[in-house]
Amino acid sequence: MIEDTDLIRKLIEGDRISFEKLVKQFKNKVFNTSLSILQNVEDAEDITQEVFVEVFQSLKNFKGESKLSTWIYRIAVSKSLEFLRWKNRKKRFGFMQSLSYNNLTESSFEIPNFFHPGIQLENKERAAILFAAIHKLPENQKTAFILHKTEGLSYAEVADVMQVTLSSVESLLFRAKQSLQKLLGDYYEKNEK
Amino acid sequence: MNLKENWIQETLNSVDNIKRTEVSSQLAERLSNVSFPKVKIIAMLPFVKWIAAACIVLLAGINLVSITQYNKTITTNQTVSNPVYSEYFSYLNTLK
Repeated sequence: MIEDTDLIRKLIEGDRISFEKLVKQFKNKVFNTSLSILQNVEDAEDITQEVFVEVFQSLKNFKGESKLSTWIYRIAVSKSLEFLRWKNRKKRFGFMQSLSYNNLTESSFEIPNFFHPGIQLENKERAAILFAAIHKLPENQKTAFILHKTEGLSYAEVADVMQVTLSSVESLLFRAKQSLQKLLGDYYEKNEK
Repeated sequence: MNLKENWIQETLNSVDNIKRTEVSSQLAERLSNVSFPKVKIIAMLPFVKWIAAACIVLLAGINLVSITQYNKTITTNQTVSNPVYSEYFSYLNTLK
């Protein structure tokens, strides 16, 4: 926290070296969080840039009530979800898309087309199916699952980022796992059997 | 555990050893060009403020004194007659 305060003070003063330090420290974390949520490399890159712009513009408003990393994760998650909502809205209004959208049931998901670059080769296809299922989860379950499973944050850290209680995180992760089991079960019935 | 449950479990575990991806060089370049607001905080010490205020008062005072002195000189020059000038025009006194 002391290091955070010192870094923030230097950033507000316009110290270029501190700025580079911050980017170096958080660029991969921000990019990977956005990538897991958006499941598109180009979109994740754009959002990563937006996150850092937002971070630098809002630094003076940062009250230090949470850790700097928590605050940056929070911005990354909210920017990514905001973008996803906008993209889904745009998609829904498309004429052709709306027809196919209506044909989709809640328990089904589209054929996986996102292959996370950080996944080991032998797990690529399985992980692609899992990411397609994650994409179908409600926002809060998706966020909790991604932060815990792919970003490796502890329950307490996830709770801080999402600004919810520890028990809420436990509940969200339990429900996320249940939903994923159901989605994957349906996928198995249709495609793997 | 049947085949389906096993498959589900393996799929759920497929992200367990996920590695954090490095950002591309293009993105790194874009991030290094992100301009951040340079907020200059000028911390002025209390005694510096008083010195600045005293300087302003002193400058204003010097100017005031200078203007007053200048006005006095002008008036004196207009009232006190020059001896040479008085002597030259002294004949006018005889005409009176």
